Amino acid sequence: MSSPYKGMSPNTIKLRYLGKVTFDLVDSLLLIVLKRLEEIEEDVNLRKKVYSIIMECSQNLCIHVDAQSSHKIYDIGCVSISVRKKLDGYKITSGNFISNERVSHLRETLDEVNKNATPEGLKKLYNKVLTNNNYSTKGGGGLGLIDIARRSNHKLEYTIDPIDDKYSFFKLKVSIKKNSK
Amino acid sequence: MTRLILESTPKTPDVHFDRDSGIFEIKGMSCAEYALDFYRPVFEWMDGYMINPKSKTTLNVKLKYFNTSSAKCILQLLERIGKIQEKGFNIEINWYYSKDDEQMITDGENYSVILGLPINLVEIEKK
Repeated sequence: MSSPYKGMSPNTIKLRYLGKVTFDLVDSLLLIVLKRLEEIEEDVNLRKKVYSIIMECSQNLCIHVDAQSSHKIYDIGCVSISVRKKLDGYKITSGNFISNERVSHLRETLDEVNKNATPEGLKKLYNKVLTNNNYSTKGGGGLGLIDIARRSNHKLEYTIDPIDDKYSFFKLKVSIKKNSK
Repeated sequence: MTRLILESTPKTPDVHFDRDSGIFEIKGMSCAEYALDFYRPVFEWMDGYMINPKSKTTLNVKLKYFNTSSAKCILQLLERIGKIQEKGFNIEINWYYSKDDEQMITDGENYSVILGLPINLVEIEKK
């Protein structure tokens, strides 16, 4: 049974955005999330983890979205991002279109993170990339996905669904459990 | 330039580097998407300072939060302080964190290990 006021308890957050994305819009969303987290989340570390992961996810969306491309069915510049407080922690999802040429590189990065998904393994990988002095052509330092796994203390759960011969849709789901170190 | 002063914005930190005192402070949020664009002039100023540094250089890092794009820039900033030490000058790095902010403590310790530099972890007292 659903009702229009279901989920409107004073200690929760449920935010979903679906549409075009710009840096200004991401800034506004982050501000809303930060303010709300400060109201509802007493655990400083958990609050910071959630905020950090939302920031990395949404900045990744901005940097990597291919807004200039056109498509007969979908608006390639559209993204989705959501954050939800659950009983045992938080769930964050992000999704964006990606050109098929970039899929294999993204998959390699995700798989490398997941192969090293222990606190020690992620620390080593993070430090390896931190000290490599490389910046991507889009300006990213290549640390975003590693940091998301490091902070959530979990493997990256993702899907990459082919849309057609040009595009796929990349969806990342991150769970942050309470009391996870 | 005797001083490098950059006012903070919601996404970039307050920078106050004073050549005369040798005391450098960086404070606030560092979460610009392209952090290198912000830090490039800081590095250029530092490179000039490093030619003839003070007998002691102190760097106070008082960041509330930094994103991964800034993480590499902070490394480069600390590397420059390390180079001043290699030249035989005294350095002091103070890494401030809020009570219970485990990630900030871990990050400070991590930079210390990576760079082999002494970094003092200092808890910020709540007013």
